This record gives sequence, C-alpha cells and structure tokens, in this order.
Amino acid sequence: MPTLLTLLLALLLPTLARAETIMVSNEKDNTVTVLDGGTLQVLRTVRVGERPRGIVLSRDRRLLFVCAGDSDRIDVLDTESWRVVRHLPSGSDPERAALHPDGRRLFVANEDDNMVTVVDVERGVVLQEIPVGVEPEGMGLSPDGRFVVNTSETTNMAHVIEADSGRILANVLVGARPRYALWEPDGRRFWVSAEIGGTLTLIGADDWKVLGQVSFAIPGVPPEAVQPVGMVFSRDATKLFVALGPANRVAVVDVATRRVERLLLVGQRVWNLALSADGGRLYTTNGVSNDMSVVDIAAMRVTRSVPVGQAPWGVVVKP
Amino acid sequence: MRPWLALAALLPAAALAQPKGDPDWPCVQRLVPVVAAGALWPEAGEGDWHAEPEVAALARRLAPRGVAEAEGLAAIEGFAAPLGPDQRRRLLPLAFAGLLEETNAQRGQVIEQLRRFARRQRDLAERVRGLEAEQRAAPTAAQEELTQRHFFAAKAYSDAERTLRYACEAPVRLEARLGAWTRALRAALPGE
Repeated sequence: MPTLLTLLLALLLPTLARAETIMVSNEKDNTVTVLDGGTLQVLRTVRVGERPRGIVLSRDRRLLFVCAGDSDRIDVLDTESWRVVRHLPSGSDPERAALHPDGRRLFVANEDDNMVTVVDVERGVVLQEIPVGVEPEGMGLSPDGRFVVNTSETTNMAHVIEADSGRILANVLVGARPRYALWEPDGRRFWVSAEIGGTLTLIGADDWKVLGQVSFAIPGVPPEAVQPVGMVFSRDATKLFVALGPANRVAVVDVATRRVERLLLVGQRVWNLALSADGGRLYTTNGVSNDMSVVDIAAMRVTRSVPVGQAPWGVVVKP
Repeated sequence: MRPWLALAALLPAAALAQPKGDPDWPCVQRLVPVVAAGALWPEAGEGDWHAEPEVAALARRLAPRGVAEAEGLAAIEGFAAPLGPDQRRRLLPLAFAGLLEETNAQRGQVIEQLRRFARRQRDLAERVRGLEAEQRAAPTAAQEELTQRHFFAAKAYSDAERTLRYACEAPVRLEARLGAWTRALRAALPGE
C-alpha cells in the first residue's frame, strides 16, 4: 500500500518538521494563547496579569516572561506546566522587554515612567533603573550584549545604552513615535521603526549615525494608515519583515538594497512578528481582527488566519 | 493625590499623545480618518453600489453602530446564498463598497464625538486652572465655595479622562466588524 504510506507520511511530516510552540499575548483578554506550530491548533489559553504585551523566552526556553502592563509586573510562565510560577518586579507599566545574552538581565521599558528597568530574573530583584525619554518602548539588545537600544515614543529618539553600566552613549533622532529596535545579527547596525513617521531608520554601531531610511507607499492606502511597528529578519538576514499596523500589510524589505519588495495583506492592525524555528514561516499578531496570520516565506503568501484572543500583541516561537 | 495634581499629571500625556496631526484627537492610536478599501480588499474594484437596491438595503441595514458582528455575518450569508457564481463576483464586491462607505460614515460620527470630547476636556482643564487662579486671589470668605467648584470641575475632568481608553476603542470596534464582514464576503466568492 505505497499510496496509503505516502499519504500518512505526507500528513505526518509537516507536524514532525514543526515541533514548535507559538505563544501569543492577548492585551484585552489578559491571556497568553499557546498554539501547536504543526497543526496551528490552540492548545491552551493561560490567564496572566492585566494588559499583557511584550513576551520574551528565557534562554533555555522553559520560561516565558510576560510584561503585564496594568499589573505593573512581569509574570513568569512555565512553558511545560503552563502555570504562572512567579512574579518579577518590573517598574511601572512594563510594555516590552529584552533578555540579555547572559540570560539573567531582563531590560524592561516602563511606558508611563520614562524609565528602563533592569531586572535580575533569577534573584527576582531590580538591578538598575535608567532614566530615558518620554514613553519608552522598543528594546533592542545587540547580539554581543554590549548595547541596549531603547526607543522613546514621544521624544522620537533611539537611546543607545551601555548594558553593563546603564550609561547612555548616544541619543539618535529617528521618525515620529519609534516603536521597535532590531539589531542585525552581526551587531554592526540596527533598525528602528517609527509608527507615526511611517519609516524605518538604519543606524550604524560605529558612530551611532543614521545610515539610511526606508518609507512605504501602498496603493489605495492613505499614508497615515501605514504605521511600522514590529520587525523580524529572515533566517539568512537578507530580508526584513515589517508589520505596518492598520495598513494591514507586512512589508518585505531587502536589507542590502533597502528596497520594499513585497507588501503582503494580513489581518487588521498587524503589530508584531515572529519567525518559525525553521525560518519557513512568519507569524503575525493582528490586534483588531483578533487573529494570527501565517505567511509561507518561500511562496511569499499568506496561507492561514488563526483566531487567538482579544487584541493579540506579542508573539514568540519556542522550538 | 489632590485633584489638581492628578489633572496636571494627565495633561502632558494627553497633549503629547499625538505629536503630529490633529490637536483635537485625544486617543493614543494615530488617527486614520477613513478606512480605505485598499487596507481590506484591494482587488474589490469600484462600482455604484447605490444602483443595486438589494446591496444598498444590506449596507444601510448593517451599518448602524448597534448591529452586532454576528448579525451582519448572518445577513451576509443570507444575501449571498441565493446568488449564482457570476452574481457573486459582481455583487459581493459591491456589497463591500457599500458596507465600507456606510461604516466610514458611522465611524466619522464617532471620530467627531471623540473630537468634541477632547475640546470639552480642554475647556474643563482651562476652567480648573482659572478656578485655581481665582482661589489664590480670593479672600477667605470666598474660599469654601471656590474650593467646592474647583473640586467638581477637576472631578468631571478626571472621570471623563478615565473613560477615554474605552471611548477610543469605538472606531476600532467598527473597523473590526467591517473586517469580519469583508472576510465573509471574500469567502463567499466562487473559487476563493
């Protein structure tokens, strides 16, 4: 029965190839949705603190740190028992966080407190509070852990902070309401998205100077609806995927030429992005349509929409 | 916290929420005045939905803010059910055009209400500041009444401000409903 065997293998292979778990924070539901990466079925919905937005995996991937903004704390979710096992102090209104390569220091943006709080995730204590611009949000750690870039939404700046000392090394003016900072894997440059400016700014790590900008024009969509927020690189880092908010598009930017190559129609108000473990898929959180779009990267096609909770915000993949 | 301190703390956030654009827009979300067809169904094309009585009736029936998403989905299903493939290709994009235009009209009214809210808050803040100045200058005999008037003005401001996050969701809810209806229309197209 070769046909039946082939059929069975065909059914099994995608599941085996994608033994990954997708986690989505739902800002209005106060939950994290856990999905099976193979079947895209919701496995469970876990209650966490109020207004969960930024989510980050621990280095061993056994814990998920959840910024619960309205609860003024970080919830630590065990990714095996799926229970909140601990609360960490975070400072006021944590929105987004980034984990240092040392696995211990979590850098947290406190949106309504103009502060970046450094939390020791093992001891559960605040190590440092770094004053930054108004409404800090984006948090990008350089791959070597030397620098953390924080963007402040109202000051329209990217603050380059020396991770060990907390000293601010540079303040770089970027587009209006910067939301996200992402380093290139070799640590030589980083990108900042600006929600109101509608642009990306590329900044070099040699002298913290602006190297270039990218803007987006979408036929039939007014410029004010083009609101770049979340970003992620393709696995080979040659393409940058950018979530464009209420334009309901993910842009594909060629990193070398800085050209916008594609605009993929996804769900409504796309905020954040994550790459599958094998680099073959892109997952998007769509804050208004309450779903996650799945993009097949080789085909550059949106293949699925998966309902999650209310106002999905952050997304991470656990291989 | 004393009310006028709370007021002072609230003002910068409201003023800075929108560094560019409409000063009367009180919400943290950037104002997108009109939902564009290109953001939901770029290939829908254009056509005169008013000229199709059944399409026009559907759009006008579903557009009011009180109509639930599920009710609209059922109505769309009922609208599409008797149509053949060619009629679906012609009428469903027209129904989208009608729902988009009518929803934008409703959404425009909501946006105008939010703008009025912002202007009222600004007037209230002005009144609170005026009363504070009066209090500083007034003789002791007038203080009690001024304190009371100040308390109520500051309370009215703070109470309204607390409802803002919810009020700002009203345009978003209309967008979400329209998105769900658009997906239903597209799903009812033959071969899609």
